[in-house]
Amino acid sequence: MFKYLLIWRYLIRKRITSIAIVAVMLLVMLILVVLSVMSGLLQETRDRNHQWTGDIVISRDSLVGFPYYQEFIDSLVSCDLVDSATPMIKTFGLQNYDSEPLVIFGIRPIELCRVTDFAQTLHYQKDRKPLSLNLGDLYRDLPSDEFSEENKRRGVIWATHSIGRPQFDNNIEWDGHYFDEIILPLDITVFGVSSRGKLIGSAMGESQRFWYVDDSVSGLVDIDTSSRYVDFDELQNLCWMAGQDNRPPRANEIRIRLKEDVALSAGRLRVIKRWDDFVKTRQDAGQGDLLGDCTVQTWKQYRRSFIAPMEKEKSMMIMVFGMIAVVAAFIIFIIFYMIVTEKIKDFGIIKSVGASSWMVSQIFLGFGALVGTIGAILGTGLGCAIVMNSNRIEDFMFRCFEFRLWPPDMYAIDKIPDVVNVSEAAIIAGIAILVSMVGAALPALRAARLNVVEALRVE
Amino acid sequence: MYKIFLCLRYLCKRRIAFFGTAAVMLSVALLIIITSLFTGFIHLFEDHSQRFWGQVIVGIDIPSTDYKTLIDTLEQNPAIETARPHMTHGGLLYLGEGKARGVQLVGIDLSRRARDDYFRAGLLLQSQVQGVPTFNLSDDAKTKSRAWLQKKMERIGRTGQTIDDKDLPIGAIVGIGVLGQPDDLTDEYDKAAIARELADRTDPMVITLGKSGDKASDSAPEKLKRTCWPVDVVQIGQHHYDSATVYLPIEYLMELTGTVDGDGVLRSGVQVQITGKPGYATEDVIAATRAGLGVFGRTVLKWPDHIIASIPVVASLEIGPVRDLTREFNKQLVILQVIVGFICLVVALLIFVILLMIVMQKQRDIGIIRALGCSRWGVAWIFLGYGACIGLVGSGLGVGLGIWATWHINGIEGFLSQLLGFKIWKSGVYMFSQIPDRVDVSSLLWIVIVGIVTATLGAFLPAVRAARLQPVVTLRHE
Repeated sequence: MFKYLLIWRYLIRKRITSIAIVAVMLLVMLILVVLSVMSGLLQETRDRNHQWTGDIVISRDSLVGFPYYQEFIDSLVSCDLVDSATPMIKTFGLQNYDSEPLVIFGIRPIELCRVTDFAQTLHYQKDRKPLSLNLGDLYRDLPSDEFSEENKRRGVIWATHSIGRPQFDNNIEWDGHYFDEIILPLDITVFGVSSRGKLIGSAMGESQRFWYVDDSVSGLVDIDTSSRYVDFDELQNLCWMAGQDNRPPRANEIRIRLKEDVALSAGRLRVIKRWDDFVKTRQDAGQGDLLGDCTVQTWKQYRRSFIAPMEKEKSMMIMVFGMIAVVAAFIIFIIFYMIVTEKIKDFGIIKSVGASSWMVSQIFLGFGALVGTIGAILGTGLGCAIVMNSNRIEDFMFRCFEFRLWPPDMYAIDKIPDVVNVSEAAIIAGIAILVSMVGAALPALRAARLNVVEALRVE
Repeated sequence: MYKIFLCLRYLCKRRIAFFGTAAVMLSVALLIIITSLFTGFIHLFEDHSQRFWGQVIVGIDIPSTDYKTLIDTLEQNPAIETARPHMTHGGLLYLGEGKARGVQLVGIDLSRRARDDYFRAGLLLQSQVQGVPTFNLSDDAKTKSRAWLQKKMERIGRTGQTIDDKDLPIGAIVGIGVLGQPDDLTDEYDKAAIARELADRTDPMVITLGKSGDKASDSAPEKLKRTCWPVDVVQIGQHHYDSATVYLPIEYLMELTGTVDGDGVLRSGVQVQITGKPGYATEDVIAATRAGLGVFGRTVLKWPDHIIASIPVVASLEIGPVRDLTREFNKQLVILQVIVGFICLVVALLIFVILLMIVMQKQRDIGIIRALGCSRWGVAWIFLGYGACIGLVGSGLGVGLGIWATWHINGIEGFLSQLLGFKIWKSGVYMFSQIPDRVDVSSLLWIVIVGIVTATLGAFLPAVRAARLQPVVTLRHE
């Protein structure tokens, strides 16, 4: 009992203890704020990449692509591994002849929405089911003289950074009333490539007129600044991948969604196994050699060049704050050392009335733990308050000083992450308490090893 | 005198003070590294922007034949080192075997562009060659391209036609990243393999680009397809330009994308990029450019003054994306400095407790000094001086460590990359292939002051406590 009494007494009476508490509090607060924001950004980046990519991607890094994609998809969806899968074409293109180069995706919209959360990135068709690229499905009052049945299929979804939106908002209303305003033709030019990797088709590149039907904001900068989505079959035709050269039709990618109960890495291994078996069965078929150098990747691997830098930056931050943790531990060490020096006589008395060395050291370890706990609680509280109000703080700073930490027109960030990860907060608090106890360990040892006679000798 | 003596004695004899010194040293070193890294990055970004875009940009739409006159006129000004034409156009590049890229086609005057050492040194094949680098095809490339063309003509049944040099694909210099990818672990290109690829090439690359319609001449937009032969690759050190740029002769690109007006004159929207001579500020270069434009506009184009005055002449660092990115980099630097400021606060706390402990241990010394006639202020001065000494020594060591670490940042990064098994700094993420390793000398002074002030602030309360000690009380016990 006397141990708790002494710990409490030291905490209340020794003002210097407040310095140690402040140090721990600052440490916890800083790490919590920085890690929460970075973890939030990292998680958001991961989520966006996952939602846009699907679970598994089979791809070939060549415009030639690979054949027999539909057969493999059919065999996949019939097993207990895959929920859904869809082929895609990814190629480079020009829009309206003189634009910056773009990435053009050929998609099957309904299938893609089953595999990914693509529908959620759209502005007009977010809640529309089924998603369509067909102008005929979307607009009531299509002028029949301009839009043949063939043209009606040629809708294009325009990937855009969020700041691009207002230019559309002025003109479009999603019920067809303002259709005259939104006829926005986009002439898209791509390369037509034969299954042997030779340019094919017209000498100038393959062009086709599409019409704007929606825009997509995925939150991925590389995608949103340079992508357009058109119908898979239309792009396949345009790129000469639809079997025009009397070869099997080709695609560049297969996007796969695993069943809920299948783990990602295990799912990838099983898809690889199935893919390898499939490749063996098609080895001798026409163009079967194109299947050989396809890669099967999880979404993390497929998008790693965009996720890994952020993970590294988070690790570097942890290292920097590790240094502060060492300084905080040293502050606690010195403070406790001072207290031990000052209270030598107390410990002499305690030991002389029968306390063991372990009991004396327990007083300091307990004291360290208490200081750490109080500092951690205050730091966690302050950190949580800052994180949870980070957007209000930023708004306030913008109103007062016109300072915005992450302007949305520069970064693909709608808001600063304002959620505290409870497990991370608990780990940080735990480390802070541990650091406090480490700081207290040496003084505790010194107190425990005090010689009673020596301690009581000086009056 | 005794105050200085005691400060130094405590500094040397009290080992615990070493921790305070070490903490100040680490904070100062961290501040120097962060500030140098960011400032260096911003300077590098500005430097590269000015290298690529020139110091000052003039945007003007005039007949293509008049550009040379304009450039000659501008280069006669003593403030202007180089005036060079530049144009960019988006395009698609087909490399063969299913490999394609979206690229920027950049029209340049190679003789003028090569005056910049960075471009010249970045060429893979022509950097060491005497004379001016060229877009001309080598004899080997001519033979191969002629064979390719011959084969193509045979395929379409046009045999027996002679092939002149002008029929061959145009020579192009491509960014190194168009032909290769940097290694995952070292972030370096395999230049030998890229050189081999250039030498072994048997087919030209295909460029597809569009030409927008011109309302004045009522011409419709059109697609263009041309072939080019890579004669060299260039690495200018900025990933964005290295990975998606194809340099072509400017006359060729002008002819390709320009429009012929009613008088049969080829017009093309070309930028003129101007670099000032050393010692001339950007404002001087802008003024010199305006003066040159005035002369050119009045004598050659016969334009009235108000039209000449409306020609946009801007500093390249003021163009939107460059300015916005620089602003964001500066903002991130401030945020990091604020974080390090918090670390300094913790360091001040550390010095505070260290000095408080020393004050407690040295109560008897303080009593003796006071008994011998030292004033309260004198005692306080000892501990304030002691704190300042810790700050000074820590800052001195921190400056040394910070400068050393900044100079060797690429080596340290390489070592850490080896250790961790992944590349920390990649040009694809951080724009440049090298980490900036130039120390920001202008910030050293304020960082040292921050170090000393932090330590002195930490010493303030212990100094006050020491000054308030009563000599009778401290000397009472034996």
